[in-house]
Amino acid sequence: MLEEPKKLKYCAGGKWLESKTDKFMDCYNPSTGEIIAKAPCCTAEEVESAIAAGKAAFPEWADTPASKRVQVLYRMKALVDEHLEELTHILCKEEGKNWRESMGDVLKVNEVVEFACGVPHLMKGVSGMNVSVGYDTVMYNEPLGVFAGIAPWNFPAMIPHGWMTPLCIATGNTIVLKAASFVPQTSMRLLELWQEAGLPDGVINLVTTSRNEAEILLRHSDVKGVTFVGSTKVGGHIYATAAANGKRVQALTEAKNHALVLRDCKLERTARGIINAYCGCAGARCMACPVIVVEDCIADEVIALLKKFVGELSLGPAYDPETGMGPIMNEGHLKFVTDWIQKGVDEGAETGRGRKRSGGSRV
Amino acid sequence: MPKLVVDGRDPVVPGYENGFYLAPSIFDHVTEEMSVGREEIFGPVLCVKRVKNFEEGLAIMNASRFANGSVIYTQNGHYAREFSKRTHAGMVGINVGIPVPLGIFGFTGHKQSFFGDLHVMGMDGVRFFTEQKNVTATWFPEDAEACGEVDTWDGTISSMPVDSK
Repeated sequence: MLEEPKKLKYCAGGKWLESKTDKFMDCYNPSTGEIIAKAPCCTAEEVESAIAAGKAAFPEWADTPASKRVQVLYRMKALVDEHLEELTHILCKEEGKNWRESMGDVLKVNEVVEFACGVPHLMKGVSGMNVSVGYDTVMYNEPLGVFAGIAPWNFPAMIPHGWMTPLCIATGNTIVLKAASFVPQTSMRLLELWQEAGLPDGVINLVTTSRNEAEILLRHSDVKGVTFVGSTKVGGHIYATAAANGKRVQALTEAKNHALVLRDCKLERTARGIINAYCGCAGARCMACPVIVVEDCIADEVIALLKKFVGELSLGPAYDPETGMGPIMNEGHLKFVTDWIQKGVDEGAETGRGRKRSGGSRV
Repeated sequence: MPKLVVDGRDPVVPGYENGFYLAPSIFDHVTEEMSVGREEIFGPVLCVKRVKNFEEGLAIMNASRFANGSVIYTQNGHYAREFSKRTHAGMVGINVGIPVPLGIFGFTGHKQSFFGDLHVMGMDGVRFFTEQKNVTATWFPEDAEACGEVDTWDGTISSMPVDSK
């Protein structure tokens, strides 16, 4: 049965609001190809209202002692544990990675929430008595204000709510998250849990936007810093633009990790490690390992093992616990990856002429 | 000769014909001229580059403009150590295919995999979200004579000879 796509909201100042935009982006269930939700391209005014909500919430939140602030994080950790299955299901349904991969994506939220519970210790400063005769200096670490977090689609829980949010808010800042438009629902559910954990209104705000409106986050004078994960091209632009506007920036971008495979390696275990490293999360990890550099003397043996193990990987819907590899996140990205395979062929690779297995690769 | 030895395009997943599926692919004998072996694809596509030895392999890896992670599979401690020291990547795996450090460390990509100074998570994460403020204080005794004179540096220098005025 087809579900009616859900019209998603944005959150500013603790309130979930309907966007006034007439532009919406399709969110898929990549396992079936159905559109399951529509994410608003929030208007410039709505993005500005989210920043304003973060600014309004900042003074009181920053003034709350760190040991009180982290009480919210302790409660959040318990809520994530309690809602683990539900969050895992939302995540694998919208992103397409398999059940265990999705569960790990959610648990990685708690990994940083737990670390950030140590902020009362981690952010305390240092001091020197009698640094010159009769003079003492104390150094404090202070929060800055509103941060912007611009999240990618490949880790819908871990990146916005693990990498970007816990340390940001535990240290007393507030944040406007721009959730990935293709996979915003996990992020939205996690924000509801933050609210349930007792987070004051406006400490975390969440929008989905097109690129034009996201640009406001890079230039607005009330945004003090930008944390970004995505492509190298966009990351370079964000670094340059936000820095030119006086903000601190961390922009994590593309990779092409290589593994060097030496002749004395444990062959089978190594081959299994390689399969996991390039096929895990359907290859959509910035720490995936899509290239191996192999000593020629063992290359044929390694390839034979890889072919064998790759054949054991079953394709299927993300939320089926038996699935070895889920689908690609959406149709556009499937085309992008498929085009790259064709490009490899165009660059001189002969094509295999093997027969086609059901649910698997041509070998 | 480069070859697509496993072609994962257009797989059939019975019952889920409209899903966005792609099975794993493997290119063998990928050369440094081929962009498929250099650029991010973000899908289940493996490129195999064949080399004579450790040195040739390391040189190929360090020629990449990206430097998030790098991995070595070996039982040889000498090569593993040499690799950790000389690889350009910011996160290194020794027999670990996905060497993502836990959140108590941080995600430390290098080269064009990262723009900025302070990485996410770990102590860098704490510093990224905080700014330092230094407060310097001196307190005067009740006896005006004992307050001393105001020097041009007002006490905020440590190396001036005491008798130099």
